[in-house]
Amino acid sequence: MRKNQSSPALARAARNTYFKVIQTDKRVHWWQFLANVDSQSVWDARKISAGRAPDHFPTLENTSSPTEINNTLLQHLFPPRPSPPPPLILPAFKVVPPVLQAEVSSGLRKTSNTLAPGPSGIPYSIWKQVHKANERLLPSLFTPLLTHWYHPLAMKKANGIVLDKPGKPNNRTPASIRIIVLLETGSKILERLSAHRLASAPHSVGLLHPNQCGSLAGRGYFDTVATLTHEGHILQAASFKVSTLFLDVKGGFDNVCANKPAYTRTKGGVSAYLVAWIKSFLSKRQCQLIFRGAPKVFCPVAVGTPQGSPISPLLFVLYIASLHPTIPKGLAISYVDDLTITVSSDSVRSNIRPLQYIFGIIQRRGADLGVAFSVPKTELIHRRTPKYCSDVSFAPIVINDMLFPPGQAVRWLGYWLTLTIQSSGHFLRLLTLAKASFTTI
Amino acid sequence: MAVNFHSPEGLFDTSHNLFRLYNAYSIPKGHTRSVSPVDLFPQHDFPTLLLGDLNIHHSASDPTRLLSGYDQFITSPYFDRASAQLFSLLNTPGVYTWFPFTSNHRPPVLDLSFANTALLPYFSSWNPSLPPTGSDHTALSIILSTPLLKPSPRGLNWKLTDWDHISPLLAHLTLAAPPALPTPNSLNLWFNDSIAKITHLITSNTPTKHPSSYSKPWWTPELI
Repeated sequence: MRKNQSSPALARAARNTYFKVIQTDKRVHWWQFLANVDSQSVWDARKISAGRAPDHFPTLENTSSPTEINNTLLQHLFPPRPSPPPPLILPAFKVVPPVLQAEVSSGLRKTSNTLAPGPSGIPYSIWKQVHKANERLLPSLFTPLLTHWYHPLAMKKANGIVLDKPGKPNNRTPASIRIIVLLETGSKILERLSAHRLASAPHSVGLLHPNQCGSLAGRGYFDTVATLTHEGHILQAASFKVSTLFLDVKGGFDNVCANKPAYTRTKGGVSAYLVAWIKSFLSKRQCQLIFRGAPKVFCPVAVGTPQGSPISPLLFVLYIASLHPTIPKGLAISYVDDLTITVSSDSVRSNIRPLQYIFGIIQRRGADLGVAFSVPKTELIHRRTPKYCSDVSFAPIVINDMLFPPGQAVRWLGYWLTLTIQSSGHFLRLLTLAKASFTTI
Repeated sequence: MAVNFHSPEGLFDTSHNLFRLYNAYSIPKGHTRSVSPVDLFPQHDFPTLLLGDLNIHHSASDPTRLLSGYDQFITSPYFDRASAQLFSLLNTPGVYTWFPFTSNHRPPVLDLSFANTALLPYFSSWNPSLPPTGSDHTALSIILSTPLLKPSPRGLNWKLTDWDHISPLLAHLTLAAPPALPTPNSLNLWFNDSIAKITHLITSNTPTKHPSSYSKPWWTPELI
C-alpha cells in the first residue's frame, strides 16, 4: 500500500495535540459556564451534567425481531376493540359556526414552537407563519371538517415514542414500557379550537360535576389542591377526624370509548356537530411506534382519547363526570384522572367503612364506563391537626381484598400533602430535592 | 486477511450467524496481480464484505478513465469473477480513493469494495469523506444496517425556511371548495390536496438539516 512518506510519529503527535487542545478547551468552557450560571441556566447545567441515557433496543420476552416487538407493544398498548363503521356520506350540519381567523390566532398563540411535531414533522412555528401570511387558509381548511363532522385520516396519524417507564427494574415486558404520542400539529390546532368551543358548554348544561377540575379555565391543579386542603381544614375545625383516599384511573385516556353514551348527550349548549366530530376524531386512528429498529409502519389503533391532544383532558373529564358521588361531611374531587374521596367522622376508624362504601359506588360506576383504578397508585392518609400531631392512626383500608395502610405523606398532582396538610412540608421537600440535584453537577 | 464476526442470535435481524470481512492488498506482479481473482472472490452463502487496494482500473469503478488494453486485460478477470460469484461493487463510480503526493500520477479509484448477495440487502452507504489519516489513500466509511435500521431521511431546517419567497405565494393561495355532498373518501382527498398545497410550498423552500458536531451532546461524565 502506498503510504505517506512523512514521519508517522510526527503525525501522531500532531493528532494528539489537536485532541488534547479540544479537550482542554471544552473543560475550560464548562467551568466558565458553571461559574456564570444563574437561576435559569443552573437547570441546564444540571441537565447537561446528568447526561442522557443512550438509546437502546427494547427487548421483550418471546420476541426475536423488531417487527415482533412492534406488534407486541401495539397489542399491549392499544388492545383491539370494536370501532363504529364509518358513515357512507357526510351530510353537512346546518348550523355550524365557521372557524374564525381570531379563533385560529387565539389557538396558535397558546402553542409552543418547541413542541415535538407529529409524523409530518411540521412544527407550530410554521403554522403560525402560514396564518400570518394568509389568515383565510386555516379557517377555510377547518370549517368544512366541522361542518361535515369529519376528522381526516391524515390528521389521525401519530408517532409513538417508546420509552422505558422510570423506576422499572427491567424492560423485558410491555408493561415496563410507555409511549409518548406525538400528534400532527395541524390537527392539534383544530382540536384546540374544538376544545375551546366544547369547554364553553359543559358548565351551563350540567355535563360536568362541580368538583371536577383540570382542562377548564380557572380549575387548575393548584385550585384543586387548595380546595382539598381547605375542605379538610373546615371539617377539622368542626372537630371531625378526616381521612382521604387517593385513586388513579387506570389507563386514563386509553379507556375512553367513543361509543359510550357520555359523548352522545347533546344537552342544551353542546352542539350536535361537535358530538359527531368528536366521534370521528376518536375513531380510526393510526400510530407508528418509534424505537431503534422499529419498522415504522402506521398501524390502526384503538386509543380512546389520544394522549397529547388539547381536547383529550376535556373529553376524559366529561367521560368520568358520573364517577363523582355526593358525600355528606366529605368531598369527592378530581383533577382529570386523579380522584380523591374525603370523609370525616368522630374517629379515624369510623372513616374506613364510608371510604370503602363510596369506593364501591365509584368502582361500579367506573365499570359501566370501562374504567378501572390503579392498585399501586391507591393511597390513604389520615389527616391530623398540628395541635394533635402526636395522635397518629395506622388504621388501614381494605379495597378489593387488598390492604392499604395509611401513609405519612402523599404526593398528589405534584404537591406533597403531609398529615397536617401544611404547605411548609411541600416546599421543604422541593428544597431538599433541589439541593440534592445540585450535588450531581 | 479475513475477519469473522459471529453472532449466536443472528446478524442484521436475520438467521445469519456469521459475517466475514476480507481485506486484500493486491500488488502488481508482472502481467498480473499478487492475489488471483479466484482467491479474491470466494463463494459464501453468508454475508461477506470484500475491501481492498486491488491496484486495478475498471470502467465500472472509474467510468471517466480512459482504459488501455493492458488495463482491461488485467482487470477483466477480476470483475468477471466478481459477477460470477454474485459480488456487487459498492463504490460510487468515479469517486477517487487515492490522491498521490507526487504530481506525476493522477488520482484513480484503487480501493474497491464488494458485497455478496447475502450482504447486499444490508448495505446502506459507501462514503469516502472521513477525515484525512495522513495516508495518500482516503479513509472509507461503509455503513451496513438492516433495512429496518436505516436512518430516517434528514429533517428540514425550519429556521432557514425562505419566508420572503413563500409569504407572497401563500397570501395569494386559495383552496378548492370541498365536495358538495362528500363521502369520507372524497373529503379525505380534498383535505390531503389542500394541505399538500400549503406544505409543499413550505417544504420545497426549506433546506434539509445537516448533521453537525453539535447534533449530539458532547458533554459526558467522562469528560468532566
